Amino acid sequence: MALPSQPAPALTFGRESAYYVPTGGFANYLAPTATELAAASVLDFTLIAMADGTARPSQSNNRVQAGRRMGSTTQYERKGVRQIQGGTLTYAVQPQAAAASVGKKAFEKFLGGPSGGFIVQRFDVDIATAPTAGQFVKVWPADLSESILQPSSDDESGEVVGQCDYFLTDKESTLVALA
Amino acid sequence: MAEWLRVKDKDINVVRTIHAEELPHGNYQVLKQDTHDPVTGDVLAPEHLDAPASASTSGSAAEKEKN
Repeated sequence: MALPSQPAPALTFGRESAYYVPTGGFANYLAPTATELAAASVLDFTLIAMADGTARPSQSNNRVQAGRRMGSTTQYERKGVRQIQGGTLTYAVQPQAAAASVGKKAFEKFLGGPSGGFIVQRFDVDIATAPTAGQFVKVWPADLSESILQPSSDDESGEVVGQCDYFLTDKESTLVALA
Repeated sequence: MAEWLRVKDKDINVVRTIHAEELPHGNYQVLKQDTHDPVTGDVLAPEHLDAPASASTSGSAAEKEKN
């Protein structure tokens, strides 16, 4: 008898990328292209965001109890409100670095305001590999708050980090292949 | 008060409003155009110069289109 199929694990260690795409960066964010993700205005913050303190998009679904029928001994449930949640982005900043330098790049892009943008997740591809047609990504329309600076810790391990919150403002894409 | 610029992203042919600090972080050409809607004060939505008018934009812009 043939064994049941068993997918190999898709490891995330060194194989998780995250991009910030400014507003208007996709002609249609449900069908993104590799060219759009390669624009200079897109920030690959994979090595800027701190692993500790950066929340990935998440969800919670309300569980609704269905009314139990008089003679029934079982109570069922229904799907309720689905809530999509962003979170906090914590990232490395060099406060004394020159404007437009690598150390300030994220701080100068995560400025908040009403213009918004997109967070793009790419898993299971080496982070040094450029976005290429055929790679699968997940696109989340997102607004950002203003950034603040603070120490990551009060003890000897502290370093300066920027922090901003991101808010998921619309329906996310499916796991879609870059065209 | 934040300084805004209306720019053309030459990589993808999109016109958008950005913070002045973002200018070095893209292949941008500054345009002498309004950054905000003079009536509502809202930041002007991005324009895709070679895409259909129905193309989706950012989350917040998409919300406004729906409402």
